[in-house]
Amino acid sequence: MGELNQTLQKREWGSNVRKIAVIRLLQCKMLYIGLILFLAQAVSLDLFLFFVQYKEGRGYSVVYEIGNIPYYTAFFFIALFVLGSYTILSDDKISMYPGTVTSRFCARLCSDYLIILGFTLLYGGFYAVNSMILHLLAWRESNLNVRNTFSIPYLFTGMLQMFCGCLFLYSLFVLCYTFFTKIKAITSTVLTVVAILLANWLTSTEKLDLYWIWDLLTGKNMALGTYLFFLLAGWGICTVLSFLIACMVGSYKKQSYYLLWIVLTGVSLGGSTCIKVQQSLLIYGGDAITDERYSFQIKELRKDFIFSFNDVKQGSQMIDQIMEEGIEQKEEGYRLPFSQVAVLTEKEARKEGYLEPDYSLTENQMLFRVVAHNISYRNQYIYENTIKSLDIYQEGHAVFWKRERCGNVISTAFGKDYQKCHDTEYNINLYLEGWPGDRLQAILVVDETLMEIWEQKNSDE
Amino acid sequence: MEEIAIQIDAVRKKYHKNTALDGITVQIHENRMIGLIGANGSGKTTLLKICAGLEEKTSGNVLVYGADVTKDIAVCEEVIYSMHDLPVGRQYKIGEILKFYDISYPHFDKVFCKRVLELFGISLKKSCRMLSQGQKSLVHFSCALATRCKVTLLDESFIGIDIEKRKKVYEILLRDFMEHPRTIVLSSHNLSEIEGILSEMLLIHEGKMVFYQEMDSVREMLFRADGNEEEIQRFTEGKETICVRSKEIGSYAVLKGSITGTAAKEAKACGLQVSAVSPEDVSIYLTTTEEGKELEHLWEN
Repeated sequence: MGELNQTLQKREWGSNVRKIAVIRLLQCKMLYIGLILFLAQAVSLDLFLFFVQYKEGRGYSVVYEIGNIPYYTAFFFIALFVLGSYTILSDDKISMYPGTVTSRFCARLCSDYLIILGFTLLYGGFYAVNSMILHLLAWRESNLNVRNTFSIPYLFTGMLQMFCGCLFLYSLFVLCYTFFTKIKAITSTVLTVVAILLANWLTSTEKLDLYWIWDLLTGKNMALGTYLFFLLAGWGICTVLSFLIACMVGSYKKQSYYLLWIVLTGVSLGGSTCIKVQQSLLIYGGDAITDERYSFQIKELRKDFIFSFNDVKQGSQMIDQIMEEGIEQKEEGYRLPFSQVAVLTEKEARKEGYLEPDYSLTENQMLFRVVAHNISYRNQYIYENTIKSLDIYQEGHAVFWKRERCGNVISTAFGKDYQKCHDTEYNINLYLEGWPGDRLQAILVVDETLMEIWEQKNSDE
Repeated sequence: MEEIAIQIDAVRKKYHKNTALDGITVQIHENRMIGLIGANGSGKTTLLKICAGLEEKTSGNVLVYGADVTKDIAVCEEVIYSMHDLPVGRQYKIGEILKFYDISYPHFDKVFCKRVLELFGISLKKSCRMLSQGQKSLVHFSCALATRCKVTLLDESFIGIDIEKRKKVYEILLRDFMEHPRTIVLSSHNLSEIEGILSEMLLIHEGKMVFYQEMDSVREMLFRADGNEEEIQRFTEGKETICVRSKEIGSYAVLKGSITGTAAKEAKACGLQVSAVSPEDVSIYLTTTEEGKELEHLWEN
């Protein structure tokens, strides 16, 4: 009899969760309309920008990819939605209907998960429409290339990642909030201040790498499967913990200061990250310059690096290193496979067409230009990601290369080449091994004095 | 034997340092219409919200039909708390609100609710933000009544409704109560208007229960004796007096007992004019501590 009662109670509980979830989903009608309108507007704006770019590049071959506007719109929307989870134990609009704290909590979770799922499907749909319009135009216009092929499996992979990422983020915020409901205002204030100070201290003393945390959360350098497992495990743990805390909350609970503390912590951590980025920019000796005028317009990919030296001797050593030893990756020793590195003076470079007439070097500087003649394969420009993420930097008179971390899984969930950016098991080093080196060239432009001294030194040897 | 609908046992509620409810213990039987009366800040809303499971109690116990309303879903669906300004969401149409009620309450009578709203001239297509305060109160009242919940808690539900409609509302409430007997707890400041439909009255003051009595007992609870100051003083000596007021024109005393009781008869015999004290005045006399001169200082130089 007791067991039967328990079963009946569970059924009632489940039915109550379903009822509240349905009410909540019905209440969110305006949210769906707003979402559809915002995404439609973002995609329209993206297509408008494409047309502007296409018009400007008439006569040239234009390569276009889906822009960032729909992505940022989606990110903004998700951020707001996740922040809104702070009403999970105090949702006025559903608390007036019958239910217990746990049934309301679960109903809110279920309905919000469904909203996130709906949002992901909607975003995927808009991505597909956007992509198809571009491909249709590319099919009609011979000068237009779309950077990525449209792939249904890739679309679903992106949606799966996005959904799991949002679930994890949402459950993390819910856990923080439910925890806040169990502590008093003064305790939460003290905790927030301590957390901010501790995080800033750890960051400033380099005991904690915020990039590492960010990379972990966004799945950089992680295989897709591992990342999904990480997200789902995190989601599961956070949800179970927050549910257990919610079970301990007697009734409807409101903690309005929570949002303020979360925003303050976010601003503080964001600020210290910005300072960190600024500091690391100042530390690097070599600056990379990307001139949009030459990117993708003339079917040639370029990236420029400026190296500075103190005296001619140091400059000469740097040329020797590049010419004789090649450019090494500092940690792992892989060399950049250039088919050709030409050392030219400014005058020669200009004459050969390697340097623009209006380009001039300042004193004690040399220009290292990496050029990859664009090879496209099924409309995907195979060097683009490599060139884009390649960084050549200087430490003293030694020059090294590094590749920026592999693309952010969430931010590039859509619109980028899946194989190179997302399947991070596809190691850059393996990629470099198969690199057809004759396609990658480099030109080192130096001033005449340095050239003379370097040539003199070479002839003496 | 009548079942106990709500059992409140030594319930205390504290908001930081303020005590809203201070050990209230009461048993409310089913199928009664109870008036929850008290001054502003006496703890009426807190008590009703605790009974509905919307507010956490500091200590004590509340059982609705023997179950904890914060844990038992079946009981939860038989309890409705309604007030004049529920947070239903301003953007929804009344038709949508009815749909939400229909989903969540198993016995919700949508047809009845529509009829009541129609009677008051409120269109289902109207958005909540377009409603006046009185119309909002009417919508929430109609929905609450149509849920046919075994325990219906109406907290100041008639605010903003004009007198003509209020009278209709009381009529509907009474008739529906007779058609579908259930426990209805009404909290209102207009006791004189609703006393006719109440079967019992629960008076609370500063978080404590003053009494919980049947309306007939409340009407017989106190009587008033008017006369000159000397007669009043002589008569009240040694008697259970609630208050004595001395005025220039005439003095009066409020005493415990029925107008038909011995004390009242004695007063009459002493030449005093005896009158009944209405339930509304009972609540005032039993909860007011001032001597009637509390306003004088407002005009002092």
